[in-house]
Amino acid sequence: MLHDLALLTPLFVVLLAALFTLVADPFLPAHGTSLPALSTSRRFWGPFNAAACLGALAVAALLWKTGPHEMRTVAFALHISASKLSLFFVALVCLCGAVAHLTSPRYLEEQGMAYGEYYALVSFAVFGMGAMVSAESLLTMFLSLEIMSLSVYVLVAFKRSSAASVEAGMKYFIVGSVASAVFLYGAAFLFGLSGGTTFVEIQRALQNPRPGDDLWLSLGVTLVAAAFLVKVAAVPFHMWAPDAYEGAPTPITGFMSAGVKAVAFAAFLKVVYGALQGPGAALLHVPLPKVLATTAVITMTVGNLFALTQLSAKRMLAYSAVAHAGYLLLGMVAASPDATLSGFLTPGAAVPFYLLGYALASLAAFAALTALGHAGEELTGPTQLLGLGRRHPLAGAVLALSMISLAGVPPTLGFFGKLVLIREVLAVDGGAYLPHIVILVLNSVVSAYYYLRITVHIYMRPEGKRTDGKNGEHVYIRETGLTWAMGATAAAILVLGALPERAIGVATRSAASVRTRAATLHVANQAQARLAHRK
Amino acid sequence: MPPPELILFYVLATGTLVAAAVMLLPSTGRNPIHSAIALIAAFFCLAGLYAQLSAHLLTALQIIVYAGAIMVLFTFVIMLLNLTPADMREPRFAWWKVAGGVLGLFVFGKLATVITLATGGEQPINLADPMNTPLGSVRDVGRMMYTTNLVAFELASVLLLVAAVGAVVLAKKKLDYVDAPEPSPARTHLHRNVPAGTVLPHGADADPPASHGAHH
Amino acid sequence: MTVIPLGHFLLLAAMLFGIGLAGVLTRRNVLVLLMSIELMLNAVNLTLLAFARYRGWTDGHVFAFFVIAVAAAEAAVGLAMVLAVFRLKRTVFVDDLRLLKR
Repeated sequence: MLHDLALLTPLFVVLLAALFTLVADPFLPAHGTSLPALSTSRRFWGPFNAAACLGALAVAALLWKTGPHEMRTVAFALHISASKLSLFFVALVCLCGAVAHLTSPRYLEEQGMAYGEYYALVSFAVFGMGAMVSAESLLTMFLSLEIMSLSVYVLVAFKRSSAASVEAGMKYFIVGSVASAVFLYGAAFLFGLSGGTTFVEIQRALQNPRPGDDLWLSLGVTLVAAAFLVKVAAVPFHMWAPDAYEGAPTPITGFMSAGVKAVAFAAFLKVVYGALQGPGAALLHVPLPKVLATTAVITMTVGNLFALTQLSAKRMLAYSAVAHAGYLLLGMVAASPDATLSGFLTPGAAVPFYLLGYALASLAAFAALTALGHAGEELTGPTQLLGLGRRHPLAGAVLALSMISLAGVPPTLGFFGKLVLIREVLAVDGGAYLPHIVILVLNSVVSAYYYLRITVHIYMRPEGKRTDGKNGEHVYIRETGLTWAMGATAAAILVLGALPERAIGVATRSAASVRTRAATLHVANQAQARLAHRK
Repeated sequence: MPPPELILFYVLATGTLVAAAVMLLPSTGRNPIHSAIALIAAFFCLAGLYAQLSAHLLTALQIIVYAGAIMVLFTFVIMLLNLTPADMREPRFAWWKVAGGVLGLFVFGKLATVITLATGGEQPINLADPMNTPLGSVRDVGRMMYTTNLVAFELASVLLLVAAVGAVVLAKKKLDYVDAPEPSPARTHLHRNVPAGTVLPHGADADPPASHGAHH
Repeated sequence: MTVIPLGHFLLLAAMLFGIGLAGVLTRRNVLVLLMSIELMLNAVNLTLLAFARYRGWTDGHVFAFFVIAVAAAEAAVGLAMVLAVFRLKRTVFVDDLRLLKR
């Protein structure tokens, strides 16, 4: 039991921070009747929770280095694990959480919503995300999905005095709940074929399928995949994303576009490809890689075309998030266990590595946009970005760098992400996906236009007085935490862009842990036998 | 004469479906309370079906938690909103209604085909036979819950805490401090279409009812 | 011998799921929309319990138990969201939430 608990230490650290925030917040000086009284009393929670997230990240890294062998990482009767894949994504979501916490305090004060519950909910969401990528059963995955989703719905609607925010929360809630119900229905069919909720049991059942099991499998996988497509905002189901991203408080938009997306893809990898290891793939009636590739192409094209027409940077980034979901969906094709990647050194690394690059760029971009939130307003329109590089050099530089990385321009991490992804997808089935890759490249070219347009705006000389704050002077949020968040994410993009080998190696090792599930099965069988004996 | 269990199944199934359909009919949409009552009826019928499946604990929970707690919550909110008939105008016909109905039917059709295929070779079992050990008792479920599913149980506790916190954050009537500095109207795109009154924290009487009938 | 085939329960569940989905897609009243989602969750529970009964697996009951817990949590947050929207916009229709559309 102690061994099991020790494996989940990163999650506990974040959960404890959330609980402490929640319990201790009422003891802080009472909410004053004027804004200054409020502004100082709750500022502390940002760095506190960020420190907890970074601590959890450190523990996850420690577990990665010194933790038990890959096959002994399943805990709590096969329901949760600390495999390399889990740890990689736990670390990633902790990073997202830390950035969200660091960028929030002053922004919340400017927007008039500085409550302790905000930080608690962000930490709860990080906990839910971490548990979701650690889940080894449909049941735990679903419950942690709900912990994450409910927290994020509330965070999106957190600015209660703004109709945009509350409506965005409502829409996201409805779409998300339907997706949850669809996921559950798929899970019910997977339960019907295996008699258990853990992925190991599903795999085991697929080794000796009964008549009809192939149909249950196809039905279950289709429904679960559809639910994940909603969560990652793939194209027929993307309508919620721009509204939710634009209406949400800016730090939460960054948190969602980096964290929720990463988690959804990680869970997708775990469920669909975890369950389909070995004989399972042959039983599936749905041509999953083909469906994913087609959806990917449509998603990236639609996302980019809409992003081209957006003037507000926040909404443009929302559509660009849709486009990136498309690139990643194509990467999923290469992660498929039945894909033949002969002689390839980094199988499956594309999705985790690309997600790392995308998450860092997205976090940096939204951190920079957070600096523009002032006195209840969001100054992210095209004219307001003009000359940002002069007036707030750091935010301007970070935003420009993240745009360059998102566009995939060479010296940055985003470029290597695309490179690894393209290389890997091209290797699948002897280049069967070449047309898709061509479309991906064309899309990248199109996307470069609107990313670089923003970069140009940032460094263009502002003409006349149009971007000023209330009293004529330029007002931006300048805060130590925000500066650190921007600096750290930008530095990570540059450093990892300069030395991508290490990051690719880490991503490869994490992706490999999906593929070694079959070996885990044996250990798991033994563990379950021991458990049954004890009972 | 079909066996009584089968008759009971058909009665309960028909009841569930009728209640579910009544919930969705546009004519009941005028008053969401009618929908809520129809849904409670559906939940009771479902509880009967759960009992047929010997899910004793779940039958009780269905009535206590679903028909009891959750639907009472719904009813409370409906009462709290105090909707007038003017608030409840819903467009009678629109293309997306037809499309939505067709899509629902299509999904059901697909599901039904696969289910029929997959259960084709299934041998029906005698549910009343004591040899088919019933397993939905509190003891069985409880044991599973606190042994193999322990981590799920703990996650559920966090989930309920999050839901409680979230609901309070969203629904609390008045924020206990003076609101944000008023944004200057129409400065940014976000505030472009908002009537000035909507920024009030509880502007129920400040802004006129929005025009629902305007759209297609 | 008294028999109800497994398919009967599963088909009923599929019907409920279809009705719930159609409800989500056709109705614009948020309250009825939330009720439709509850109906979909009940379809899931019926499927789980039917499989559990016919195959003799207790895990299905545990799963269904947690589905009910999640439904309660979702209902609480959803209804709170309805209240928050209603306070600002005095509407319960998703079509009136068009501020962000353009």
